[in-house]
Amino acid sequence: MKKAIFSTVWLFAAIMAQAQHITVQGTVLSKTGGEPLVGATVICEAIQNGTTTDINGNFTFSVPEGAILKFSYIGFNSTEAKAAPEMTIRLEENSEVLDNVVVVGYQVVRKADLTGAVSVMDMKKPLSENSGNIMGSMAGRLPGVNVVPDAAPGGTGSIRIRGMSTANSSNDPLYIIDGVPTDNINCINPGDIESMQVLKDAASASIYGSRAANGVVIITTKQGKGDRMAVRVNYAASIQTIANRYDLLDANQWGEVYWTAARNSHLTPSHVLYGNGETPVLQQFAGGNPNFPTTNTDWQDEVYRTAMTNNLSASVSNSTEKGSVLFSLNYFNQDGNIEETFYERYSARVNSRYDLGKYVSVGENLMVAYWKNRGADVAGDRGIPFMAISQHPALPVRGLDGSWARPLELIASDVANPVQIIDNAKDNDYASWRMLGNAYLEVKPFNDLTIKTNIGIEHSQYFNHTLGRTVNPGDVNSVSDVYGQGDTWTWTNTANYSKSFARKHHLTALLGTEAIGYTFRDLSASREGYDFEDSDYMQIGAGTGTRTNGGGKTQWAVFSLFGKIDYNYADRYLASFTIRRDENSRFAKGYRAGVFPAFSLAWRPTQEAFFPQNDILSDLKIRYSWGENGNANIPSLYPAYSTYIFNTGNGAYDISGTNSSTTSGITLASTGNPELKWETTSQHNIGADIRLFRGALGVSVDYYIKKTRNMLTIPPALDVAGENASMWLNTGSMENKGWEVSISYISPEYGDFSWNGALNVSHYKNRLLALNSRQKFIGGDQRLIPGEPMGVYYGYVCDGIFQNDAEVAGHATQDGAAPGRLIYRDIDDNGVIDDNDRCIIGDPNPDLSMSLNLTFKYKGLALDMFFAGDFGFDIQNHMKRQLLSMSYGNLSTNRGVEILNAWTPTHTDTDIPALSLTDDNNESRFSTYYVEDGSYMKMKYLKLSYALPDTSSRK
Amino acid sequence: MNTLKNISTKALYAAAILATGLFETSCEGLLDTKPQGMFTEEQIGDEEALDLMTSAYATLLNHYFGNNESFAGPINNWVFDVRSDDALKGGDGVTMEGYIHQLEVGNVQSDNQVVAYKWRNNYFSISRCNTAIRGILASKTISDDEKSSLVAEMKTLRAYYYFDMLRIYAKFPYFDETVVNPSECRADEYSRDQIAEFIKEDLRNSYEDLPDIQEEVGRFNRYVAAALLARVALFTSDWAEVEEYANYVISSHQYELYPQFSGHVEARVQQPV
Repeated sequence: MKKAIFSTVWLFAAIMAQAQHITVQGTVLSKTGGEPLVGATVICEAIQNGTTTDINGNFTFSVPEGAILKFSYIGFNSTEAKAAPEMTIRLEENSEVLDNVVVVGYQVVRKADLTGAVSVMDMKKPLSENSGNIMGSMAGRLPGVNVVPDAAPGGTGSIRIRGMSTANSSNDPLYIIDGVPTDNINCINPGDIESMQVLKDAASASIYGSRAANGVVIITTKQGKGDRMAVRVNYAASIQTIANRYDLLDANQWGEVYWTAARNSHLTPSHVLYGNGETPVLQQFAGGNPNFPTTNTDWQDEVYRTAMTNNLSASVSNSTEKGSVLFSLNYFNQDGNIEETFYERYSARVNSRYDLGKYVSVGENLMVAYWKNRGADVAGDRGIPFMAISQHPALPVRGLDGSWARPLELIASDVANPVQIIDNAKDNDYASWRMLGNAYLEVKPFNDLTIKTNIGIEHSQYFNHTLGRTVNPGDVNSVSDVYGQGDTWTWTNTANYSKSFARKHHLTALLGTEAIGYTFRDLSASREGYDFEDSDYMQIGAGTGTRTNGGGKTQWAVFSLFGKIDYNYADRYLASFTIRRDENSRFAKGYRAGVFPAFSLAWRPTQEAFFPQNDILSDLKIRYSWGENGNANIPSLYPAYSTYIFNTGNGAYDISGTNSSTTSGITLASTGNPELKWETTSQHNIGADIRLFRGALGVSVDYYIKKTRNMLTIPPALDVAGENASMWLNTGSMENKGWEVSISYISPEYGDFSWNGALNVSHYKNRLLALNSRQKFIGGDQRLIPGEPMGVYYGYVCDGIFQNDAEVAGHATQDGAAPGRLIYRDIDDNGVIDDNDRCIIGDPNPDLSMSLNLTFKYKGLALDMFFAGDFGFDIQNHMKRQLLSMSYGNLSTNRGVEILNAWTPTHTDTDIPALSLTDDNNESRFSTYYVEDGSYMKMKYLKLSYALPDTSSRK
Repeated sequence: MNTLKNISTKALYAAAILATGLFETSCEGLLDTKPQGMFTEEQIGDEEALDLMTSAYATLLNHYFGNNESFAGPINNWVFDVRSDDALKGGDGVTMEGYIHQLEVGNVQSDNQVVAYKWRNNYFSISRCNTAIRGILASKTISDDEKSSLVAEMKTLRAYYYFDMLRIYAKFPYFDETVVNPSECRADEYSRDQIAEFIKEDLRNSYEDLPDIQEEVGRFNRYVAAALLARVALFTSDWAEVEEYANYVISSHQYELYPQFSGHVEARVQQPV
């Protein structure tokens, strides 16, 4: 009995003791900077409950005395502590987890709060190459973002985000630099970039509304940081060579091949360089001219060189509680692999910020860049690379007296001497300036509201001086100068309100307006007739012959209103809603405005009280978003107007019979469509972000469906409607579907060794849904066909080579068929090979894109490697027409060495058809013979680096 | 006191920003961009009708850049000589300018360039004539007599192009300046005989309305209409009409034949244009 009472009392006491809660008042701060962590989670397992910290990092929590509280925050290592009435917890930053804030649509947001699909470029990883342009480093790094860089000096390249949304207008994304929208990111020194994000889905991009249908790339430049002055100097030098050159015939082989080809075509072999005998005999002099002895010229060698790049940067930055400043300079000099080509740039940047008291701050970012460059024409048959490949090997570059060898005179070939062309252009002078900057004023009238006004300006100008020196006698020389100037101003006003209620509810609201104006002017002049061709004499004013001039102006403007609301409940449920209304000057009144809404939702089950705390799954976020974006980026700036001009070209006629001049007539320049409106892309995105093993392994997956409707295209008009009758219409629609997976792993420290890696895999499927009411397809060899991916290859199917006459007879009627010639398949089975025997023969869109980044660290050493590849796509090998056929183009051009392996009745084991000087079988027609699998994987860089221990370099 | 100052300063800043933001909402002028260096339909006044005629005449110079004008320009018919024994195509095999080879062997495919561009160049020229006629008729400053003479010039030119269509194509749409939307015309709407009659009717009317001599020598006169009418009548085997109009031109003694056939080419080369 006594025992019972005793135990009851004991129990009672125990219960009372257990029921004894204490109220914990605590603060959670960051260990390194000491700033409060907003929204950090405090969990008490014992009572299966938790709370979060407020805007000051404070929390109040009623827990049993002595209970263990667990504190955690994204990007920081979690810690546990015993409950006490007053607690101050300092969390250590997890240095391996990257910056946990991103810039998304006029706001800075925690990565954890993101409800949309955003790829963040890791700026701490080594930048891929010594490039003046950040695009080269982006290639392969971001899933869903396809970068095609341009290897020319100062080359730009293009970015495609999640496939191609549109057929006729631009597929370029919108670039935002420090809040200022711009068309290209070319002169931005990669060393000045603090962070870079790509907004891929509609919900994140929709705040940029009208120009965001192709995605948005946001760049933020560096500001002064830390609390002391920092000086950084960086120098990098690199060498570039052409990786692969074509293997071509030499002068003797060429003669043999030409003789065989002539005989196969039933022609008597004869050539000005080889005589006209039974066998080819290389003549001593080209074209019989003793000044030009024949030789064996490697034209590719003459035209290409090994090129060096220098990149020197220096920056000084400082920051205090009052403000910060960053000043950086960059000198970039890249020689091109083609002789005489180069790109040289000087740029300076000043970024500063000043806090006038606690409530007002001002700041600016300004970049000024000046560059000179000289490129070479590389496109098509008249480009330098093609001229170097096709020029005849027996011709010398110069004659004995030093004058240029002119193929037109010597062997009646219209392929010019590429070295002469490069030399003629060596005094061309192209210089440009670009100024890009913004200034802002930010006011905090009261604690939760920030009002900001931001003015951005961009000024670019170029002056191109081109000398058209003579190539052949009888040419007229000329000089042409072009000056162009573009100005863009952007004025953005935003009000940002952020409030937390009852600890668990966080609300952010954004309201803003934006106005953008762009003007471009240009002036051009050219004259002919220069007696001297030295660069000092060849200026416009000195020309004595025909004078031409031109010039004009274009402008466009955009005005927008936008708003966004974000709601966050206890870091568990996140929702966001955006709406933007844009008016674009391209369209006529009444059709200008487009409204682009979007919303996104996310759930973090790991923040739920019921979710078991475990060491495996530390964070899981599931998100869904839907939104609409617009696109109006067509080449025509005034598509709503029908315009006329006084035509000095094909509309001018000597109506008065003067015999010396013409009168200009009026012609229609373009037909306008006053009802033209926005192209709209809507996108669904579902994804998940997972962190496992205390943040060591991170996985991100996304699946999206993008549909573009009212696509802006310019379908052809019937000829009977007259010239320039076609106009821009909203026709057609396109669909892109795809998924992206991103996996990153950071290994634990094994003593002094650790490693980390990142793998990105993505896939997209592009399909043109509808074109327009007039055409079943657009294009010839590459087509836009409804129901197929954009740009599919369309042509004949080649089934090998006819081996004998019996095979020719047994095949459908094919004009020019003979033993040794290519076989084309009779697709429609009607017994005749004609236009109807074409079908889809390839798809240039890759099935899979992949990239892998590995870093191994041991003490101060680090080994970085980066692989990237695309698989499952076809490419067109147009060079085969020139290299493997004697009849393509100019008959005196050089061919590839593989042509020695061509089919003969005694050598039948080959793909290459028999040599011939006449293309009777029309083998240059587009067929599977010219389509190859383009899948590749390459190691983009391999880097070994050593970091000096901290103490030695910090003074 | 200090806090009041603080608040008022902050309020001032905030108000300034908000005000400028609202200011922006009236930005209509900013968005009304107009094409530069060009003019629109509304600006085409009465005098411009004559300039529309000039561009119609310019089609005779064969300069539709890019529409294969060397081989298929509006007045360029020399490639058709390969269809008879006048000329061989030559060149480097059948694939060089392969469409001319098709004309030579009589195996014309539907995508033949000469066929396609000839159609296009002729209709572009016809559309310039029709636009000019509409512009002339709508003009308020030109007198009615002058109007009929100018319209006659354009109708003669248009008749030439339709005649060219008649002798190259079996079926083609015919429309005059009253047809608003030529894209809806059908090629089988009129028979060849009907179209030939339209052409000759236009030429007969032009013959009535045109003066003998034009002040601006680049313009068509009555003799041009008569000569063209004789040519068309020859094509349709109307011998009486051929004789009548041909005699009119011959007996005027305003024109004579070149002593050598190559003369009409040489003359063009000598005159710089």
